[in-house]
Amino acid sequence: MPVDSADPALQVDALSVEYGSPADVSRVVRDVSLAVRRGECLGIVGESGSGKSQIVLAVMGLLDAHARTRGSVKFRGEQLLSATTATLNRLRGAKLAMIFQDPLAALTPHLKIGVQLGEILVRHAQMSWREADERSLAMLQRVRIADPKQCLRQYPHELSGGMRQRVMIAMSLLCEPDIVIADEPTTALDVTVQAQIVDLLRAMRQDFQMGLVLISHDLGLIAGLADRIAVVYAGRVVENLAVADLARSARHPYTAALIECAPTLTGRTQGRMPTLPGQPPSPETSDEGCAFAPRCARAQARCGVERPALSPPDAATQVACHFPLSP
Amino acid sequence: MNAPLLQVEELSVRFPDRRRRMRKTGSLAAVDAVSFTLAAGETLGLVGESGSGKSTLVRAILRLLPVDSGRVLWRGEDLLALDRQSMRRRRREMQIVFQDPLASLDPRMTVREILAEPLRIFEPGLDRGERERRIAAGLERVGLAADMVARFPHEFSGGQCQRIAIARAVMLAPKMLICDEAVSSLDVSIQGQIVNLLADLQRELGMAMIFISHNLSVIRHISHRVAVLYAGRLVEQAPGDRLFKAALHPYTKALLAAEALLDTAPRAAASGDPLGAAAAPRGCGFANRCAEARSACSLAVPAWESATPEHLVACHRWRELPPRL
Repeated sequence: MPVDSADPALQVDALSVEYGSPADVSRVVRDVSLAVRRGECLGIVGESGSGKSQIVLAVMGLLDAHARTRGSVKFRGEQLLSATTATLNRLRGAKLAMIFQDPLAALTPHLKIGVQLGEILVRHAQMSWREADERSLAMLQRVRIADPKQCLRQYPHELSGGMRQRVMIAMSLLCEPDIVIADEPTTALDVTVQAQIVDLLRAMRQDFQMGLVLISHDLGLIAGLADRIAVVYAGRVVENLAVADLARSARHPYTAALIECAPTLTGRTQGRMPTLPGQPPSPETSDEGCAFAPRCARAQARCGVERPALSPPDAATQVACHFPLSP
Repeated sequence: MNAPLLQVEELSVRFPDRRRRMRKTGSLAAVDAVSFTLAAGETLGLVGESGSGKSTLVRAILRLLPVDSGRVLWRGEDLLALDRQSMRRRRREMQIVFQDPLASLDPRMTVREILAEPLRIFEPGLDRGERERRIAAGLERVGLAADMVARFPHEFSGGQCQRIAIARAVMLAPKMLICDEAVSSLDVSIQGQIVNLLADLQRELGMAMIFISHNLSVIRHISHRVAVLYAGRLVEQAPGDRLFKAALHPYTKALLAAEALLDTAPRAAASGDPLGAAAAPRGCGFANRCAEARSACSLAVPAWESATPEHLVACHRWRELPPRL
């Protein structure tokens, strides 16, 4: 079923994820809405515990059994939150694929790479193993693995971290997905290899025109790959903005602080690092007021009692703040 | 000038290699003939990718790992020649903070017990009231409230746990603090807090620091001098501002380019994978990834050469190549 490119391939509406008893509830995702079309890249940036990974686990149907969800997750028009395992299995790994942070943990240790790639094609694309092997080989070439023939015969532990992540990327693209979700795809890698993987992801975006959801704590990585950014704090999207606007017109004080804190090689030389005071919020934080207010230099009395909504509604550029920075 | 606080000479650490056990080369060098000095009150940033031997090097200096050859001079005295008891007495002068704060704090000990431990061992004569005062002061010094002493590590966030680990490390005012990726697992907004805290403590206590990180940007903020490690060997050392303005070794240049690439626009990064010590060839360890390598590079290990008295580089071709500006 071809998808109209105007319609988002992935649409998340008012998604909430909670754990724990009603008396002691952890609200890890709060009322999050996102949309991703084919061909575009949405970056989700947030610190550890902000709920960014929980959002994608909810999309992939991989949440813990104790999680309670509300809202809607639609993939090509199909509701995923209430979908059966059979439906999810039909989509996952094929049209809706994922690249995890730690490829060694995500690959099966006792199966050769050729088997792990091939079984996706045999299962989802009804190929014979012979066809699947050919396709896998071609895909390993496209992700620039130096000796793809040998790679097919190797086990994950025989590959370097960078090669494993290339294999993960090849795997996610095998069935020409509409959406690929990459959760911290370079965090576990060395910096020279990180740069190679970023290059590769950029090239694959061009070639495959899939929608890419890129999750990271690293604004630099996101700025290098994404078109749009959703900034997540304490389970909520606090700002939606275009990457081009990141440097000049971030409006939420938290986004501005993230940009300020990111250590860079240019600009300020030695000396004190810019910091954000206080601690990241916990998922038990109440929903009264703005979650960032305790750490915010611009906060006023209103911020503690009245929660700011993302505004303007239905716009591409939105901020949830009573006293946003001027653009 | 006085003798340096720490002087490491040709230090090598070898591990047995199961795959090559039957051959003559039954071991591989995780740290290969590394030499550097550390002056009192100075911060040396140690950069390198995973597997380059950063952690092995500092653990060997602290004698937490057996050393194969070389010398570690601590205020002129060879640490490797000390017996266990004498070494133990020196340990109060040199402390380490690890990457994962939760893993380096005993989950069954309260903060009070964690901070009391160094005092119990090295200052057993303290009476209880004095010990409590020292613990409270230690907590306040790292920006935590003194009334947190009865809590357990799991009740704290990652950044707070790292503060506790730092408080423990500086309890006895050491002369040298080693930070092994001490901020790498922390969120960006917290990293800066911890780096600034370490810089403050260093000034306050006059400690020297070895600050290990794979992140050049963080190193740049805190280090007086920077040493770059690749495949178990130091390839370049220079004062911080000089290294970031005029790097000479192709590997240092590649590292800087890769970080700049992640910062902004695409630029050429090193191709290939980082070389673990296991694969270190006879010549320059970086030769097989280096765009500037010539056949001579894989024949001999490049020796240290001085670009300036303080800027050392181990590269056969550095004179022919432009510095990275």
